[in-house]
Amino acid sequence: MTRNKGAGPTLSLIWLGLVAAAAVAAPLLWTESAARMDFAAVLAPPSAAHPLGTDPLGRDLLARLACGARVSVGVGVVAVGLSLLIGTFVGGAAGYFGGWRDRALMGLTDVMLCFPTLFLILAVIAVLGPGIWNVVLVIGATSWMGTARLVRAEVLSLREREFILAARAVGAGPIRILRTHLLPNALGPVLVSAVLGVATAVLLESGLSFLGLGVQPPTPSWGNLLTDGKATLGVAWWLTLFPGLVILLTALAANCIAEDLR
Amino acid sequence: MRSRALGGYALRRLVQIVPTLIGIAFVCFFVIQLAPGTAVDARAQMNPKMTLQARERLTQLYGLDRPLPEQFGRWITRVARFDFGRSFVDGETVTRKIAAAAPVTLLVNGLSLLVILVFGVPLGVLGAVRQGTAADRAATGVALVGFALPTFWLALVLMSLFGVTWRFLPVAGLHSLDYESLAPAARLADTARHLVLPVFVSSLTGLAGISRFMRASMLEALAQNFIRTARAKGLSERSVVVRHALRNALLPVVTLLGLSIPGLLGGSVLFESIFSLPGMGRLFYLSVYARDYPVIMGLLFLGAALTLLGNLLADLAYAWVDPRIRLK
Amino acid sequence: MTRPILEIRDLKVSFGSVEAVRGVSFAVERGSFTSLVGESGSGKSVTALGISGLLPVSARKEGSVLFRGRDGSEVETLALSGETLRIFRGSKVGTIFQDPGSSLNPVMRAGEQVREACVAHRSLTGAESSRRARELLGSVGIGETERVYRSYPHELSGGQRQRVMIAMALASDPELLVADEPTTALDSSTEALIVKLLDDLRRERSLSVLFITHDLGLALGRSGQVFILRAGRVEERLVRAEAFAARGAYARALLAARLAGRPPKTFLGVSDASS
Repeated sequence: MTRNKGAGPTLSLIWLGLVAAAAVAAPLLWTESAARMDFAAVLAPPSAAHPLGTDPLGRDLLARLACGARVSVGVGVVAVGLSLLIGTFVGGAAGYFGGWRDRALMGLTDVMLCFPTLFLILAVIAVLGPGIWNVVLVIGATSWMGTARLVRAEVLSLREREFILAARAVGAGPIRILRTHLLPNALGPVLVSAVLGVATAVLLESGLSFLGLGVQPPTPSWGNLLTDGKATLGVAWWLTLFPGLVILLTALAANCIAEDLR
Repeated sequence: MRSRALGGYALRRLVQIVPTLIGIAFVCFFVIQLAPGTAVDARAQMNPKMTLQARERLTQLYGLDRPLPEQFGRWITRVARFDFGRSFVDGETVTRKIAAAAPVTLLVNGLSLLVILVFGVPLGVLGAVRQGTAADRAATGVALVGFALPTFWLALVLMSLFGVTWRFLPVAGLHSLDYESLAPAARLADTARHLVLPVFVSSLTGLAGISRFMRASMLEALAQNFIRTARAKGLSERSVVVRHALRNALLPVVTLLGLSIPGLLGGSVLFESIFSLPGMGRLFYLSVYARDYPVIMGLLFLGAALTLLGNLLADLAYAWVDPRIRLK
Repeated sequence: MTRPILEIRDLKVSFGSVEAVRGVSFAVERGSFTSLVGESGSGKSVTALGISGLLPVSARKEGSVLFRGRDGSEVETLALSGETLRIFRGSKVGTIFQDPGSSLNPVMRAGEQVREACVAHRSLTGAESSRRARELLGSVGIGETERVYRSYPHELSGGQRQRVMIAMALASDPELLVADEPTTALDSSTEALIVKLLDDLRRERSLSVLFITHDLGLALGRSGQVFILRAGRVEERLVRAEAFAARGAYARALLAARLAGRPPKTFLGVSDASS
């Protein structure tokens, strides 16, 4: 379906490319710059030497943001991967087996959907403690429900089709059928959901880190860089503006791509 | 006649809710089981803030040293009585702490829902009726930004602008310092001024969602056959849009409002902390920091229960306004 | 001999690159029951929309659709727009559509929809308009007027819904009623009743009826004249007495299909000289 695509998806890809590049390269090249505290330029506004300004300890914001990309986006991608795994398993099993298994799994999905996401995540963090891997685990464990429903719907619609019946007649087991026939067909909407999920995960991680309950300093993440922003509100506008802008642009780009994929 | 059938339907749905409530309680129970010193022992290393004393109190409160089924039984019966124990922080009963914080959250979120409805619906209708024009594209663009926006960041930016640079809206708390000395009308105005920023920020994501949904719903309604009939009767375009298309397009919006409740509740954790509002969200945040498990569990259960209730109300409202739904 | 109420000359309608109507010309005599017959895709519904003033703004139209009112006024329907178009719809030409199930607003009571039609071109008080709406429902053969008035469309049968549509279309006393396949979605016994109702109303109210269908036999049963539409053009004109001596192979094929009992909705593989 051709449509006037506009600049959106292209710009989004460019931005995401930059972010990905930063995620890969920055920690290798700039760790030193990110950690170096320049006491002569504490809380300095943007300038030639520090294009995005510095924080209360004199660290360059641009370098920290670039290094934070790996954390924030990495958390997003891995968490979504985890949620896809769980969701596909739950949805696939529910759709394929039907009966009480289906009802039980869908009941679980419905229950999980009742919890305000941030409440559940915070409760688990309260019990397990903050930290980057806990955040990944928790976001992944609370975001799989959408995928589960999608996969289940696809499996249900495909289940009685001829090529499945043929495969079963040949003696293929359920896992093999799921893997080779059913899941590839479900890929489309799941992919869209995954890209949107990354945007949501990035927003969630930044919210958590902002609250001090996600990625802990000194590891930079876009969210905990915003905590510095809050502390210096009214004094250092750049510490609030730029991390937030980066989060916004990344989420926007991901949404744009997902919209385009549809 | 329809209202009587609706009552029966409501009752039936309430009964259907019970298994889900039990499921919610189970998930809360599961979360507690993740605490150190119980099922997952290795975690104890990772959570240095968990003191020995806290662990003992947890064990005592939830009977963590008893066999699992017995634990769950005790937990469920206490939940049914709304007994979540006492706060580790100040010994106050959890129910009372939550009850003190709930009105603020309900007020802010209630107002947000109102804002979402009052502004989101017309925006969506405008987008559909003026499809393809610059106004529509602008509205869609704004909605897309609304989805991607880290709203707590926007809250900070607005705080900085209004609290520091422009200074005509308060940015913290629910009341000014001299609240007690104000006349009732002035008190209302004071509270209202304090609520402007929180309600605005809290409603943004929901607003984006509703306007997009409304637009799609209107476009779908306008493509229906009965619109052609309405025009054939010689009705004005305005009549066609409002009396026919809009009435149909609004139906599913009711459900959508109900579905925005978990989002609003989750968001309140961030906004209430940023704007220093003494609501459930901030209570949650403080309790997490203090590892005040009884309060956390109480709020977690309540948050899920409220979401469930919101969904139920949305379903009922939809069943009531759509005459095609049979309530048998 | 009065002049025709409707004269269509070389009507062409296209949507984008698709030509739906490619040069249709025919006339409807005042007070007559005239039919337009064609398969799906022949352009008959688009022609109906053109006559009723309901073509979408995006449609490109050429030619002339001349409507002659009882008072002698002549209106070029294709040139209408805005308020004049609104007045034309409903008060000069009433239209009923194929699927009454989807053509009625599902969340508004039937009576309310008829009442709305009553006040579209006339100002009446609430009491007057609801009385008139009830009268209309009675005049289209609805027995339980009160129950139907208060019902929602989904609570009515197909035949009742179509009668409600007819009541709505007649509410503003139009001079021409365009019926676009009104019986296609109904069973055959109801179909016969609705067609008879239309004919009765025609005589009672000095109405002209343009009946559009794919069923040639049904059309021939009632109509003074039948125009056969194919691929966007009028191919033949039949007058009832001569029908069985129809000359064109296409018309003969349609007729044969109807006599054999096969509903000729789509007609593939008919060969004729003008291919």
